[in-house]
Amino acid sequence: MSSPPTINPASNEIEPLEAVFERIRKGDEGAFEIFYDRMQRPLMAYCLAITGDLDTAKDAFHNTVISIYEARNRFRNVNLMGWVFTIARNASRSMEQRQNRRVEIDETHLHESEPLQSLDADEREIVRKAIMNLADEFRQVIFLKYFGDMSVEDIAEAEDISATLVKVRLFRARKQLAEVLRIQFESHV
Amino acid sequence: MNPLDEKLNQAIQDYRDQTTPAIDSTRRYVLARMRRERLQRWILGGGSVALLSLVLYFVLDRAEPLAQRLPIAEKAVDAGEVNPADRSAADRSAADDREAAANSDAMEVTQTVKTDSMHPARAEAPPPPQAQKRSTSNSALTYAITHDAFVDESIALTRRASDAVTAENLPLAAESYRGLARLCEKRMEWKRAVAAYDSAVSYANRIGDTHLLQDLTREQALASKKVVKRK
Repeated sequence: MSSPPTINPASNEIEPLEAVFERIRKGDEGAFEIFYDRMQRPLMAYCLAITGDLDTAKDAFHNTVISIYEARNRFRNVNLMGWVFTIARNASRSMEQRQNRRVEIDETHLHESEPLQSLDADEREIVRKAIMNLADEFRQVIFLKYFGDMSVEDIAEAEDISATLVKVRLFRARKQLAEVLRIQFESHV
Repeated sequence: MNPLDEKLNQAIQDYRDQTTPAIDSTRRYVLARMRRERLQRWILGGGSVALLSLVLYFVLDRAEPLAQRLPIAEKAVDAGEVNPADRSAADRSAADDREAAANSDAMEVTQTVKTDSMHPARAEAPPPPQAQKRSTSNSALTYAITHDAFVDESIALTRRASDAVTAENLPLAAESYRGLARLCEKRMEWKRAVAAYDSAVSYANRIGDTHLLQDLTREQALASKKVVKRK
C-alpha cells in the first residue's frame, strides 16, 4: 500500500506579491486572481475604515482595484503594499468627499432614518457602531486586523508606520472598544 | 478566544457577508476587462500583420510588373525585332577579326557590368517567371527592390548585337551596340559605354553610314570626357 503523497514545503511556498504583480503587468489573468484573493479583504477593510460607510467603501474598493489595474505599468518596484494602500486611501477619501456632499444634500432624509437605527438593539450593530466611532487611526488598524486578516507587519507596511506603533494602536483601540462596549451593553441591559 | 475578539469577529463577519457580492463583482469586472484588452491586442496585432501583408501585396503587384514589363532591348535601341531564324545561325563564324574583337569587348562590358556594378543578389537573380508573381512575399519583394532590368537589358542587347553580326545585319549590330552604350551611360558606366560606342563605330564604318558615324563619334567623345572626369 502506497503512502499518501507528502507535500513538499518548497513547492508550497507563497509567491511574493511583487512577483505576482509583475505577472499581472504582463496580462496574466491567473496572477490577477492570486493578487485579488490576497488583497481583497485588506483593501476592502481599509476602504471601510476610511469611509466608515459600507456603500461608499464598496465604491471606493471598486475604484481602487480599477486604479491599481490601470496604473500597473506605472509602478516602479518600490513598496508594493504601500503603493496599493495609497491608491486605496486616495480612492476612499475621494469617495468620502463625494458622499459627504451627497449627505449634505439629503440631510433631511438622514434625520428621518436616524431614530430607526438607534432603536436597533442587536449586539453586532452596537459593536459596529463602536468601531465606527473610533478615531481614524484606531479604526483602520482594527479593520485591517479583523476584516483584512492582516498581520501586524503587513499593517505596518501598508500604513507606512512601524510595527510597534501598529501594536500600540491596536492595544489602545481594543481598550477603547472594550470600554465603549461595556457601557453600551450595561445601558442596554 | 477573548470575548472582545469574539464580538469583533462577529460584527466584522456581517461586513464580510455584505461586501462579498461587491468583491466578486469587481473581480469579474477586472477579469473581463483583462480579457477584452488581450483580445484587442490580439486583433490589433493580427490587423497590423494583415495590413502589412496587404501593403506588401500591392507594392509587389506594382513593382514586379514594372521589372518585367520593361521591353528589354526595344527601349534602348530603335531597331526592329531580330528574326528567330537568324538566331538559329549562331554557330556561323565571325565576319572578321575587328568585328570579333569589338564583339568580345562588348561582351566583356556586359559581363563586367553584370558582376561588378550590381548587387550580388541581383547578379544571381534569375529572371522572374510569371508563376512566381504572387508567391512568397519576401522573395518577391527582394527581387522587386533589387531588380531594375539593367542586367537583362545589357545581356539582351549584347546577344542581339552578336546575332546581328552573325547574320551579317551590320546596321542592327551598330544600333544594338549604340543602345548598349546608352544603357551604360544611364548607369554612369562611362568606360564601358565608350567600349560599346567603339564597337558601334566600327560597324558604322563598315556600313558607310556617315551620319550614324558622326553621331556615334560625338557621343563617344562625350562619354570619353566623362571617363576622364571620373578619373
